Amino acid sequence: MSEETKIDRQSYVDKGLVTMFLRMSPEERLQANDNAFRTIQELRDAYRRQKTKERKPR
Amino acid sequence: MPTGGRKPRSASLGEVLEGLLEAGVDFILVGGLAAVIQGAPVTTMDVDIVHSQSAENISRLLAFLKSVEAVHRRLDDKLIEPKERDLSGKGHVLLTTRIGPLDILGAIEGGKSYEELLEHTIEIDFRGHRLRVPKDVNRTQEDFDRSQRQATASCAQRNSAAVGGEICPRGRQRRQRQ
Repeated sequence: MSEETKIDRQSYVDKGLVTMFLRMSPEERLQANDNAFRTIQELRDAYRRQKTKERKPR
Repeated sequence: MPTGGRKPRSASLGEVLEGLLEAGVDFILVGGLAAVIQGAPVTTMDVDIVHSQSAENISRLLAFLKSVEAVHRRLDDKLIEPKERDLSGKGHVLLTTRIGPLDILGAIEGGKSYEELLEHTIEIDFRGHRLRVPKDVNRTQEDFDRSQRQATASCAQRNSAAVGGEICPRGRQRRQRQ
């Protein structure tokens, strides 16, 4: 196995993703970031609600 | 670095998830997003899923991918659409769609498939749909770390073996330079 492959194994950088974001304008990247933030909040709230529901005594 | 290729019209994790759910695809949300929603201090910009590999589900998934103009995420400008065989194995398929990036995993750590992971999941309400996520935060983080390593390693292996490369765009440019 080549040295480059060894380095690749330790690296978590998704270069395809980086390339995809580099194709966007700075405004689009900021928008993507805002979208991600909103979705994460939405999912976190949903997860918390589900956990609370499970904890409630029957 | 090439600047062509297909550019997403937006990158919305929510839209990708909602689209998959509306298309009736059976999947489990894994990776960074699953870890983040349980409080892991990392950030993520793509959606990772493990899908059921039943013929009907692969067919629904392919129809959804077609509807969002999915192509393999690559460093070069080639536009390669995902095929049925890409979604039938245990490998990782990294895609760009017009609504955002999507990583489809045939299996995660230890080769665990959708069916094997099912008992470790819970369903949460997301935009009027039921979304399956892992129930354990520590497990999720471990899976996330491992699946990230696994994805990188499997791509590197495949590229060093000079086999295919279509479903594994990350190391391709490097191989071409060699």
